[in-house]
Amino acid sequence: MWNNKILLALALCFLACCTSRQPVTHYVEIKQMQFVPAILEVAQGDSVIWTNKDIVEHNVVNESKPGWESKSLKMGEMYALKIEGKDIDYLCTLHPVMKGRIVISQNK
Amino acid sequence: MVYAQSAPSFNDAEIASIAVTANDIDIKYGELALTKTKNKEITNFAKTMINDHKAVIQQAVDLVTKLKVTPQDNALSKQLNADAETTRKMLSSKKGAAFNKAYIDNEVAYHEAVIGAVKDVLIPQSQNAELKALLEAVLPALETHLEHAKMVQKNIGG
Repeated sequence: MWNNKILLALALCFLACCTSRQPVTHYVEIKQMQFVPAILEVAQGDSVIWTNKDIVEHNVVNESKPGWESKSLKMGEMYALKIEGKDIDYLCTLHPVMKGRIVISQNK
Repeated sequence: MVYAQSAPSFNDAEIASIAVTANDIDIKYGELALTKTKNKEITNFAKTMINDHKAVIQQAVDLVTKLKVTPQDNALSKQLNADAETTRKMLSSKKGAAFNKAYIDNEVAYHEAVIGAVKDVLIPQSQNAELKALLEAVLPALETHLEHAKMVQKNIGG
């Protein structure tokens, strides 16, 4: 009886350790002329969705070239991106003082 | 241009008029800039000013329509328009690098003045909660415009 319980516990531990992590979707709000959160920690393969909550249009543009860029987002519009590669510094080129960063974490 | 200095009092219809006028003036400065400059940073900044201030005006128009308020001309909106006419004449007389510098210097000064007026006069005096909320929502955009203008001013050597 006790042997079975120990085996079951070991099996569960094995599954928890070795099962691959499911990708997660993270959300960034663009509000009051800021990316919130400005720094976001994610894992490889996760997705990020930016939503513009401001009256004015914004975009989301990778500062590295060649990079990616969203179209101009009106209030309520979203931009989604799957994160692959290295850390990303991005900005709104319409308001270049607005900046954000995505940090790829190995601990996620 | 220190519009907040004597803190006159305004009703909501007058505040709506001041808000629309202040945005409209900066749209016109931006439109003038697009006809006068070849500088990419000035062009991009002017386009952002035109788009952002149009978006704010649309929100203000939607709100006053909903509230059934007719914006009402007043001493400050008239003063803003008179000052803007003088500034437009000054800007129109310049070209090339001199225009770029004059335009962005004016954008810095104008946004500083408008931020002061919104913070010290328009928000405190707004009676309607939705009008006050709109002005509060616009403030971060004005502050970002000011930072952006200062960045362009520095980059073009102003």
